[in-house]
Amino acid sequence: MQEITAQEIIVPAKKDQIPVVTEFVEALMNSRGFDPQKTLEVMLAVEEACTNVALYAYAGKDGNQEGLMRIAAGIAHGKHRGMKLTIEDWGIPFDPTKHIKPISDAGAEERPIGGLGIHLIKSYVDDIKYKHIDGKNVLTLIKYE
Amino acid sequence: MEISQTTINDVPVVSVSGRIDAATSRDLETVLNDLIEQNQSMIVLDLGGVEYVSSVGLRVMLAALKKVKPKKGDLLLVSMQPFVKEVFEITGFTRLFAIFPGQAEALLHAKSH
Repeated sequence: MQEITAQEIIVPAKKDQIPVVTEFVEALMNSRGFDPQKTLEVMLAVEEACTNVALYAYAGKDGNQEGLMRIAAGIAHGKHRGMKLTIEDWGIPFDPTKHIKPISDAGAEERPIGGLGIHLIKSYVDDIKYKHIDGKNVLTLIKYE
Repeated sequence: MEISQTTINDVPVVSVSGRIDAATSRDLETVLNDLIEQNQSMIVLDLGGVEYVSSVGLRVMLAALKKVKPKKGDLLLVSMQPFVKEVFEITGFTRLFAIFPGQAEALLHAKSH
């Protein structure tokens, strides 16, 4: 897959910044004529990935709650056109792909609150890869058109 | 996101349109919590205008459901768009909630509850 276009934003790793990220993804995909349904799916996957970063990446790391996250979005060209999203943070090493648990069968009262995000990411992208490089968590999501 | 509220046959109906995401879910949480604090335990949540819901939004709905269930109440979801319905299915949330095609069916269910 060849990547010829990439744009990026860097924002504080906070929940209130997530719409900034999803709007960035939406604007890029709209401008490149992606199907609106696929755009919503990618936005959801990116929101879930960024929510995890905002909630956990910097929690308790040297008492530093003010970390950043970087989101790069590229249009991948090749056999199939697609979106390639890279979500990076400098927080606690965490591989979300290793924390995919089966959806609980528990009723509402006993239902655990966490673990939904990674299921949604997995459901809505075609490829998900995690690496820890140079002190960074790097999560790469690919969605084909 | 826009939220409007009305009461039909003494049942509060909350209608939401737009996106329930990390930015807006807190507004929905506030509306639902206010109703629950006013001792409303049977609530209809009309999602007809909602095109997108993330896990943050799902958590808000689950938290509200957990509060009304012990009071013999329920959070009845109506008019889900296909993408929202799919998100509920993927996360297993369709099993947790009573889901109705429209307000009329939900209100009928609320009446017979």
